[in-house]
Amino acid sequence: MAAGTISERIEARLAPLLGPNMARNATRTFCRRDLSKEAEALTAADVPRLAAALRPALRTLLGAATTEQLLGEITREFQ
Amino acid sequence: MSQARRHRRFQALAFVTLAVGLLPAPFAATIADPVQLAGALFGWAIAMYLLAASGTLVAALTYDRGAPMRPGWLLLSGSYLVLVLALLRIGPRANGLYPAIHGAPWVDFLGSVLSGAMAVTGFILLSRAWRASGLDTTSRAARVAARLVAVAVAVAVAGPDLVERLPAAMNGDVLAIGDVVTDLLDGGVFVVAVPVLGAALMLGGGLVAWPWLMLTASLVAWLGYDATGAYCGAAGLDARTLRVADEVLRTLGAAFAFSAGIAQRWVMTDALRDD
Repeated sequence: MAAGTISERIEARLAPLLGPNMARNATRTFCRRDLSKEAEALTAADVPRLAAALRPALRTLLGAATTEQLLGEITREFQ
Repeated sequence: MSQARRHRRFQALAFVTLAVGLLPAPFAATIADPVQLAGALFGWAIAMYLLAASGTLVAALTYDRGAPMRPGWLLLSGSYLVLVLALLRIGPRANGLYPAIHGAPWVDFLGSVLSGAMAVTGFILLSRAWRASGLDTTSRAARVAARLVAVAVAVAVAGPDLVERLPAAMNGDVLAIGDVVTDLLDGGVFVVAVPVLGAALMLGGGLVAWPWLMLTASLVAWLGYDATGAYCGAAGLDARTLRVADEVLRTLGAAFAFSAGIAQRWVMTDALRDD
């Protein structure tokens, strides 16, 4: 899990649930839309903001509990 | 639980659903008496509608109050519950099996229209929630193209039955009016549900795709149900075989709606659980 860029590691966390294409699209889209930066430029400090941006979308598909668990795992990985 | 094992669980659900959907065929093969068969299919249809209503209700109740997907699932559940109530009032259907006078044409008409309207509204709400999530990154041009394809498919599938029943409907035949309105609503469901089909494709490979895939399978089965009258009749199938084909597609439509609801619950409760 530790190999790869930060965005690739986030995509790897999302992919089992959203599928590889949607995981990549979601990471890139929300990085651009909410953080105004490309996914490749993502730093560990950006991860909580990206998680917050992803939260409403993930809650729509996964419900509150699974979303919080998933985002918790992602943010903990980069603390 | 490994990812592959989680997918196998959904695959098993889909396989069992498909197998259940085919059960009206052995019913028909083993029950020669048309009146008994009509009774068996009546009980089976009620059981399947109740199953569909409960599966979609499970999905709705797994979401928190205020969640954008919840009303859509609730309406899908309601659309099947309406069919249960209508069918209980109508009783066993004789069509394709033996000559009989339809007992409650207005109940049939109102049940079909109300159920269809609830299904259309439910799919509109699910599609809107998906679009509002921000995960749907398809361009406007692609969305319009997909809708046009869906309209063409809906017209090709439901159109012939609609054209066939329209003259009788214009003469005030309540059952024919119900068929025409149902054809329009079923075609409408397919068109408004295009984002659901898109979601199933975009989420491919992920666990979240399963409920959307199963909802898609349910929609396709219902569209096939509308098409049997026109296409199987033209293919020269006898009335009994046509009725059995109807029942298989009806069962598949309801059973996949049940499985979609259960799959949605599994995604929301078990997707990250360590066993």
